[in-house]
Parts: sequence; structure tokens; C-alpha cells
Amino acid sequence: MVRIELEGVQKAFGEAVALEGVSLTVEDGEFFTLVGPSGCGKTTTLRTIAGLSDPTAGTVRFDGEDVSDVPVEDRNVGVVFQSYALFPHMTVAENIRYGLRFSEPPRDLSADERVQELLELVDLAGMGDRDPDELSGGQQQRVALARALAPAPDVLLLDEPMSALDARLREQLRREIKRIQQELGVTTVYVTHDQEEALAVSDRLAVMADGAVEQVGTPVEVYEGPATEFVASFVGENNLFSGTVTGRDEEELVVDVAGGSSEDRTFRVADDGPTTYETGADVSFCVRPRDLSPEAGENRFPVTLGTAEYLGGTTRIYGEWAGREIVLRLPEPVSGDLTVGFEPGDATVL
Amino acid sequence: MKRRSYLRTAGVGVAGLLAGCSAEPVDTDSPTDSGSESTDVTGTTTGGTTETSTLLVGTYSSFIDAPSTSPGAWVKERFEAEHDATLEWFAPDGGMEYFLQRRNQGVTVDTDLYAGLTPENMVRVDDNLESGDSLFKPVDTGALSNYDNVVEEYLFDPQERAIPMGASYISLVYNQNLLDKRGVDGPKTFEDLTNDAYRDGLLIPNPQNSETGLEFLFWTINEYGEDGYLDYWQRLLDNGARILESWGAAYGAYSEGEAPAVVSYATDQVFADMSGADMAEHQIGFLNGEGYAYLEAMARFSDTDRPKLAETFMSFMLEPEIQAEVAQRNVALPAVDNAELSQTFDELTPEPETAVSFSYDQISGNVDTWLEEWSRQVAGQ
Amino acid sequence: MRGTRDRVESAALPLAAVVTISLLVVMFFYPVGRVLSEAVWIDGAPTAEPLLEVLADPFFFGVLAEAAADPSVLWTAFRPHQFGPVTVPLPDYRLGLFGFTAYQALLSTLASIALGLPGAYVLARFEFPGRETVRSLTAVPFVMPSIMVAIGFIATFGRNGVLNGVLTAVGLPRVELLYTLPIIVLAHAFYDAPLIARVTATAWESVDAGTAETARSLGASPQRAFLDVVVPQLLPAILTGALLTFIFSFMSFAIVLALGGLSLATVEVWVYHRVQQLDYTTASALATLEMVFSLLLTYAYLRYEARQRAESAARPAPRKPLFGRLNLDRLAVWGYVGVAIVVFVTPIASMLLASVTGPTGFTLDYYRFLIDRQATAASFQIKPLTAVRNSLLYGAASLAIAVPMGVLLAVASTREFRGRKLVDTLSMAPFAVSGVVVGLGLLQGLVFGTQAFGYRITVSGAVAVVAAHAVGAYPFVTRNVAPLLATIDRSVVESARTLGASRVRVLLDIELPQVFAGVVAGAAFAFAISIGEFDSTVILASGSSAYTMPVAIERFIGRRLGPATAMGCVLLVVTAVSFLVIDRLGDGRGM
Repeated sequence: MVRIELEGVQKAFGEAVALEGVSLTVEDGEFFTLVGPSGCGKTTTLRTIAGLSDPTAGTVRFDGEDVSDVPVEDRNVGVVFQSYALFPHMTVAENIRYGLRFSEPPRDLSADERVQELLELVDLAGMGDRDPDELSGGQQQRVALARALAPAPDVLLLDEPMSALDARLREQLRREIKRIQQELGVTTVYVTHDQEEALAVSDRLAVMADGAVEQVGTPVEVYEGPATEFVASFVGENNLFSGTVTGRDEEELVVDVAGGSSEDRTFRVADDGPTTYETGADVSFCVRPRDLSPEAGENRFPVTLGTAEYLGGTTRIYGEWAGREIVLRLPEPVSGDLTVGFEPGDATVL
Repeated sequence: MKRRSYLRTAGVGVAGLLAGCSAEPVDTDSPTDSGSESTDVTGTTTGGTTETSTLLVGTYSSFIDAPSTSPGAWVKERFEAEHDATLEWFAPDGGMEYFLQRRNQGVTVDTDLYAGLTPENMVRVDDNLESGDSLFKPVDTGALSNYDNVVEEYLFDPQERAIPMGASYISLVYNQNLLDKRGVDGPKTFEDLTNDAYRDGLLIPNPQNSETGLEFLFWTINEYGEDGYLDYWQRLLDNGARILESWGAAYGAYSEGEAPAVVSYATDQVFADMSGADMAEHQIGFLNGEGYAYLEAMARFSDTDRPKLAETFMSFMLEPEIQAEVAQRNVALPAVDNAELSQTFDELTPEPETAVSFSYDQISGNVDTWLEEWSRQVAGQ
Repeated sequence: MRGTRDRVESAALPLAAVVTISLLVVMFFYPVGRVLSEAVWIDGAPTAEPLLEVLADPFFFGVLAEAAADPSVLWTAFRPHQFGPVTVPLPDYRLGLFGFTAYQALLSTLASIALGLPGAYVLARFEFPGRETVRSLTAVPFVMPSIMVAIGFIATFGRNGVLNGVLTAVGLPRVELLYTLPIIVLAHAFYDAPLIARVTATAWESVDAGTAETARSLGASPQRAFLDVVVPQLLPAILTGALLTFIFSFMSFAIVLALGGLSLATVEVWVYHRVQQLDYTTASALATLEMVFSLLLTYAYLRYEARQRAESAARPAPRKPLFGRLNLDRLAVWGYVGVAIVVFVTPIASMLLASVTGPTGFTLDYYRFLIDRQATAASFQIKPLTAVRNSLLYGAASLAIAVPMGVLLAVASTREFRGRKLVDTLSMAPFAVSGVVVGLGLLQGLVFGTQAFGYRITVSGAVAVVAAHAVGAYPFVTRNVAPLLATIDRSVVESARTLGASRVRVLLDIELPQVFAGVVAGAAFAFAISIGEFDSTVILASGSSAYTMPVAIERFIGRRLGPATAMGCVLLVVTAVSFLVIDRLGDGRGM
């Protein structure tokens, strides 16, 4: 159980830059997620922590100690790969047991006892003698997890372990992983491109794009208070508006949003963003779909109906206003154009 | 593969290599003339050998180890019985080449004497020795018993290093049964071989590595001269004659009926008789009434430790009784004229009217040229 | 505890690398370099003269050499050629020795492909009893000593051979096949077509049926689906087989002499004779040019091999039973089986037959000769059982060297580093270098000894023989293991490392077990090659008691082929059994 610190980690593959000065801290025992679209550098970051990739610059510390020169086999990390990477010529039990050749099982258990313990932990008791190719995808993933945990690593690293599984299984397994992690208290770094998943399991998360960290925070912080346009649009659904500040009214900014017609282009938003905006400055803000309501809301504007998706209990509606796509979440389907509005306090200034 | 066994096997491999290695100090003067007891050949050394010593004799493999018959074992037995010494045979692959290469490389060889040297061997050795006077040491022929009875035509070394040991005749061996199907008799002349009647009819061992083939080449040069023999060979090849890698290959193919004639030895009928074969398939053909004399001799190596013992051996080999027995076991002719052969053997070994043979001087300096010319022509078909 | 083990392990790979490199240098690069240097280094100074002399000699390079001296030859060499009613002027270029060698190698390759591909089809797509055994035995012709093949071919295709016997029995005219170009091409095909069949069959079994099925669903007929989808997946395997065949046929020596005679000489034949004439300069020049040509081809081979990635997760199409209703498919197969029996089985069977046939009919005399010789031979005579024992010992010993070496080089070839392809090509050099030169190099360098520090260091006969065998064998191990190593999922390797395994442990615990089939297949090849090796052995075992079965066979060739064929049959049985045994351990995967 260690604290991981990355400082200014850079990685370039020849001309191509994969990471540009990534700095973050993962606290001891935390479930930390790296989330972002493909190519954002999250896997590279994970591999750097593991020692499978050497950074071109920057340092990696475990509990304050620089481990940049420590080879992967000595870092005491457990890794679960996207492909599970089970050893095809060994049984399930032998796979799990492999790491115990290089370190003692904890708590004076014998290797066999430890293997049994882990099989039970991942709910695969009795499957020790099977061959990996006899197992389903979900079972293989659990074996990979058990194998990584067997030598009681200080850090658990998971690289998109769910991407090959169906949605239902995914939800089920992520709950299990979370449960196991909380039970063991091992510092965990989880990589995924699925922001919903990231929000669901993490203690804290880092949103990455183009080799850099856009924002770090708890799921609530990131969702409710996105720091950049990218985070705002990537994490959860969001409606982005941009315009010019025309005035200030106590704690609210008056923004003229380009594209809207004369009646509906003036919006009032709560001035609680990180930056102070002067009149005439350009500003962006976002409003979550659930905060757009047909009935209430001080800032109102019309939405032309596009497509509607029934999600079972709620409906997601894609519409259009002032050349922008607007996303709504309503309890019931609608049939035609409508007018929605939001309260100034529900808007987040970026 | 377990790590330990892997390392172990690799280690064994290296150890094995090291075990086979040896390092010996090199004498600054090469070649090693370790024959320190270089008593003058003409000197007065005590007659008869002293302690039991070993004589190492080099020879060609079929002299000691042929599937059919070899005199080697018998010679060893007799020699060891009559003389207080041990005889060890040594038949390196490549014959004389083995000794020549090693002498040129400065590698010491323990062999005392070589039995089975042909004139071409001698020429080749003399032409290609890089340093020193000769691979062989001359012998005082006066000290050899029965030397006076050696057939004069068989003497080929003007320096008296090579003492004749046996002979045979190169001739054609042909299969009359097959020829009957063509409606012809055996070929009588060189020209016959280039005629339609004998189309695809001849197998010849490659002169480049067969004594038999080489001497056949000499024979044709003798017949057509240095300027005409290539043309003759062209006509031979155009008529379908085949050059096969060795005497063994040629004769083996002949036995399988691949062609009705092969260049081989005039003593062929002895073998045919031994194996109960049909004589009609083992007819001897002397072209133009000639046969090329295939001469074998023995010679002492110049660096031998036991020159006296070697001389004793040569004397032994010239004795009429030994000559007769060796000839019959080796299926060859004796080198002396007072050896008594069994009547059957005599009948089965015809001799040609004329014996053709190139002298040492005729061969000297020419073999390589002839072979080069000849092989370029043949291979360039 | 972990400390010492770690230290040993971290030293193991570099140590093994050092051992391998030194073995290679001592056993191959030094001896061969010594000989080849005679072509470029005379009297202490570098020179291009021997090479240029050879290059400019029309005897070797035919029209190219002639044109270098006088370009007009290129167009004055046109002669009218008659094709039926039409007369076409075609160039009558002189091939030269190199040209002829390349020409016969090309024909041999085409013949091998023609004979091998149908075999691959049968092995990969049909089910029949004994399929696995047949598959194992496809490797036997490849390692048969040329003497035996020659004997078998003479017995089959000679004037009085089996083929002519059958033809005359049905009233057809005899065929004269021996000592012609076709028989040499056929002999090469005998060696290499089974190899092509085996390699292609393996690739065929890795073709995913889904790809062809998809093509069919999109509207392609079965033939189109095969041509458009399956053949491209087989092409890399076929090409590597073809390239290997070409190189082997190009460097071919003994079989050309035995079945072709001197008029059909190849470059290698000439090298042998130049060496015999002690003309090392010309021999080395020829061998150098041979080697350059072969290395270029080897490099091409390696590049194609790199593209041969077998999909381990592929679902192959189910096999069709061979015995069933006769349709066009099966008819063609049976036709091929007939041809295959004539070309491959008959020579071997003829040899078996020849070993028990005397001038008066059936006889066990030749085997009795072997037994007698074993019992009563003098020390200077070759004993059959000793030859068998030596062969097996040397086989095991060269295996012990060649397998670790070959595996190590395979591992090296799959690691990414600059100049990897060059190292790979150099490690395959034994393929490309004349066997005569290797033997000569070993003789001069190791047996005669090397002078250094005032000592002459020599390596004795038996050890040199094992060394020569290992050198000839290790490339086969590498070529069997490397492709499989390259297909191992990288994340599996990384997982092991994250679990604490050092690089050596990963190699031993994870990578090697997964390529075990390739290791075993390579080991089988290595063992069999050692058993059948002749050229280098005969040079190195000269005069000593280090003789092997092929040397014994040659010794027993006499007035009749009988004793030699009996010994040959012994060798055949030993080779076949060793292949069956070793190959079964590896399930016949790999090459």
C-alpha cells in the first residue's frame, strides 16, 4: 500500500509525444482512475507506473522513493491487462501461483493456501485445475485479477480490463473489483475510456486528453465542476455554450450567447468559476441535461426536436438551438419542439 | 527446458570441446624432423631390428577394408609373425592428400611408410610440397631382398624413393550380354567407342578424383597426343559416354546395367569368378591391344622414426611368396617376376600385348594442366 | 536466497550469449573465414584479383563474363530456334557454371513446388488413418545422405530399375533418366518437396475457415474464395519453402555428382575439385561468390519469414475423409498419391530391396557381411555397429550444443535492436556457405591446429565432427523456434515480469514452454541432420575411429552395391525412428 507520485512525466516515441508533463498523486489505498479517449496517454501513464515503459523525463515515486530505475519485476506491482494475458500452458491455479515463486505469500500462508484464498476472493473456487482456454471472458478476467493480487502487491494496475466484456458483465465485475479493492485496501490505478465507469468506481479520477491531465478530482467534483471544455463534454452529457460577457449583476454574469435570436440570447449564469471575467471577455459555460427543464428555469430558449432515445424510465432527447446540439433528459417522451430553461445557479462557468 | 539442465548441457558442450583440444609447443623449425636417429641410409647399422617397435603404414582403404577381399589383415599377420614388430595400418580418407596437406601445414604425422603410391601421386606430392626436398626418403635398393626381380617397366621413380609393390592394368570391362542386344562385339579400339554401335555405352570414373580415370586419361593422351586428346574426349562425350564421380560409382552403375562398358581393371574376372557371376558380363577389352599399367609402390616418409624397420617391411613385401599372396588377395599382379600365382588366378588375369605407361618425367608438371583443360571441356557442356 | 539465485540468473543469459558466440566463432566463423580469406588476401595484402578472375571467366559466368569483355556478344549470339513451323531468333547465351547451377536450382524449385503443394493439400485437408505418421515421415527424405538417394534412384530409375521394369511390363518403351538434368531435378525434388508440403500444410492448418466462409457469403464461388482468400495466406509459407529449396539446390553437390556425372557439374562440384587440387585461391573465390549469392537469398527468406505470422486462434476448416465416394477431388488426390509413391517411396523401397537381392535372388548375405564385419574386423577396418553407435552419440552431442544455441539465437532474433536482420542473416550463414569449405576450414583450422602464443592448438577428430554437425544443425532449431516466439502475446510476457520474474525466468518459464513444439521439431531436425551428415564428417574423421554411418556406407561401396545398401537401410531405419520419436513429442508443429 503505497502512495504514488508522478512528477512531470514525459514520454515521446521518436517524434510522437505520448505524455506531456503528467503530474499526479495517488493516495495510499485509493481507487484512482485515468480516463480519457483513445490516445490520450492513460495507458502510457499506467505502464510508466508499472515500469513497463521508461519516461523520457520526469520521476515516479512510491512512498517518496524514486523508482524510476527500479525494473518492473522489483516494483511489486500487480497488473491486469486488457487481454488478461493468462499463461496458456498453465492451469488457473498455476497462473495464480506464478508470482509466488518470487515472493513469500503474506501472513505465513503456504502458496497453495494463498491460491485457494484468492480463488475464493474472485469467486472461482474449485476452478483451479481448469485451463485458461476453458474459461469465459469474465472468468479469465477474474483469474488475471487473482494472479495479480496473489503476491500482495503494493499497487494494483488495471488497463481497461472490461473492454472485452458485455455491458451487464461489466457492471457486475466493476462492482466486484471495487469490493475487492476496498477489502484489501491496495492502492489501485484503473484505466478506462468509459467515463460512466470511471465515475462509478473511483475515489478520485484524472481526465486526460492529448497526453496531458485536464482535471483531477472526485467524481462529484469533476462531474459537477468540470474545469475545461473537454472535461465538461467528456464526463457525462453536457451542453456547452460560449459567448461574451455583457455585464455583471451581483453574483451573476450576463452573457450574450452567439447564434441565438434576439429574444433568447441573453443568459444569466452564476459567477462561480475559477476566473474573473470582465465585461467584453469571452466566456464558456455548460449546463447538464438534467438541469434543463421544460417548465421552470430563468434562462429559456427554444429547442428543435432531433432524435429521442427511450432509456427505460427517462428519455434522452437530442435537439438543436442556435446551431448547437442540445441534450435533454426528460421523464417522458415528447413529440415536438419545446422550450426549456435553466437556473443561473445550474450553469457552470469554465 | 529447466535452467539447470540448459546450463549443464551448454557446459557439457563446451567441456567436450575443451576436452578434445590440446596444445603442444610448436617447434620453430618446421617440418618437425623428429627422426633424430637419422642414421645414414648407407651407413653400417646393425642388421635386424632391435626392440619391439610399431610400424605405422599408410595405405588406401580397399587394401585393408574392402567388402570383397583385402590383403591387409594377412600382411599384418605374416609380418608380425616373421619380424619382432607390430604393424599398424592407417587408411586416411583422401589417401596421399592427407599426408601432403599435413606436411604443408607443418602438422606432424607418425606414419612411417606409404603402400600404394602411384606415379601420379609421386608427381603430385613433388609438385605441391611447399618446403623441404621431398615427402619421401630414397631407399638403398641394394639392401632390399628380391629387388633384382622387380619388373623393370614398373620402376618409375628416378630418385629411388618408390619401390614397386604391385600392378594392374586399366582396361575396359564390358558386358557381352548387353552388347549382344546391340548386335556388336566388345570394342577393340579407341575409335570404336565413338561410334554409334556404342552409343551411351561407356562409364568412366572422374579423372579428377579417381586413379583409374586419371590413368585412362593418360592413356588417351598417349594415343592422341596432347593436341588431339580433347577432341577425342569431345567425340566420346558426344557419343554419350558418362563421367561418374568415382570408380565405385562407375562400376556400381555398370553392375546395375546402366551401360555395357566401364573403364576398370583387367583383373575383373577374378572377382566375377569369386562371386559366381556370368563371365559374359565381365569381358576384358584391351583397346588397340594395349592396357595402361597401373603401378603401385611403397615409399618411406622422410620424417619416419623407424627407417630401418620400414626398409625391412619393404624387403618383406618384395619376397616372392608375399608378392604372390598379396597379388591374389588384392586381385592385382605382382611387381616381381618370380612370384608364383595359382593357375586359376593366372587364367583369370589377362595381360595386354602392349603395356602403356607414362614415366615420371612425362607426368611431372603436366597433370594439373591436363586435368584443368580436360575438366573445363567436360563440365562446360 | 533470492540474492544468489538472482545473481546466477542475471548472469545466465549474458553467459549463454558469450558461450554461443564463442562457439560460433570457433566452430564456424574462424574456420570458414580462414578459407575464404584466401580469396581476398594474398601474401599479406588484400586483393580482388581472384574474385575478378572468376567473375571474368566465361566458364563460370558465361555470357555475362563474355559481355564484360565484349558487349557485342549480347546481340551477336542470336540464333534461329525452331518451334514447330515457326523459326524465332533467340539468344544462345552461354550459361556458365553459375548460370547452370542457378538454372537447375530454379527447375528444382519449380519441381519441388509442383510435387509438394498437392502433398500439402492432402495433409492439411484430408483425414485418413496414419496421417500424423505420414506427416512425421515427410521430414525423412530431407536428411537422407546423398549416397543413399543416389543408390535408391539408380535402383528405381536406372535402365534396369523398377520404373523401367513396370513400363516394359505394360509394353511401354524404356526411359533413360539417369545422368540427365531431369533426374537431378527429380532428386532435388525428392529432398525438398516433402519439406514444402510440410511447411505449407502447417500454414494451411492455421488458416481460419471464417475468412473463406465470409468470401463465400459475399458471393464468391469455392474456387474464387480459395484463390482470393486462402492462397494469399499460404503464400508466405510457400515462398519460404521455395527459397529454402532454391538455396539447397544451388549449393547441392553430392547428388549432382552421383546422378548427373561431371557434365552436369555445379559450382559446388568445382569448389570440391579445386580444393582437391590444392588450388585454394580459386576454390575460395568461388565459395565466396556462392556465399554472397546465398546470403542475399537467405536475407530475402528471412524477410518473408517475418511476415509468416500464424494466427493461433484461427479456426481451421474441418478435414474431409480421404476414403469415400470418388469425386474429382479424390481422384486427383489418388493420382497424386501414385506419383508420390513413385518419386518418394520407390527409391527408398528399391534400396531396401537391393539390400536383400543378390546376383542369384533373395539373400541376406549383405546383412551377414555387416554382422561378420562387426564381429571379426581388425582395428583398421570399419565396424557397422561402431558406426551406428558413433552416429547416435554424435547426434546426441550435437543436439546438446545445437538446441541451446539455436534457441538463444531465436530469442535474440525476436528482440528489437538495430541490425537485428543482419545478425539473423549471419546466424543463418551455415545455410549459405559451401559444405566443402566448412569441412576444409574445420580441417585446416581445428584439426591441423592453429598457432597462437607459441602453441599449436588442435581439436581432435570426434570433437571436430560434433562441432561440424552442430554448426550445420543449429539454424534449423532457430528457424523452427523464432517464428513461434514472435507470435507470443507481449502482454503475457509483461504479466510475468510484473509478477516478479526476471528476463531469464520469463524466457524459461513462459516463452520456451509455449514454443516447446518448435524446440522439439528443431531438435528432431538437428539430430537427423547429424546422423546423415557426410561431407564434413568424412574430412574430419579421416583415418580415425570417429566414423559414422554415412562414412561406413561409402566405405562399403564396392563392386556390388549390396553391402552399402544394407548399411544404408540401417541408417534409414535409425533416421526414421528418431524422427518419429522426437517429432511425436512435439505434436508435429513448427516446421
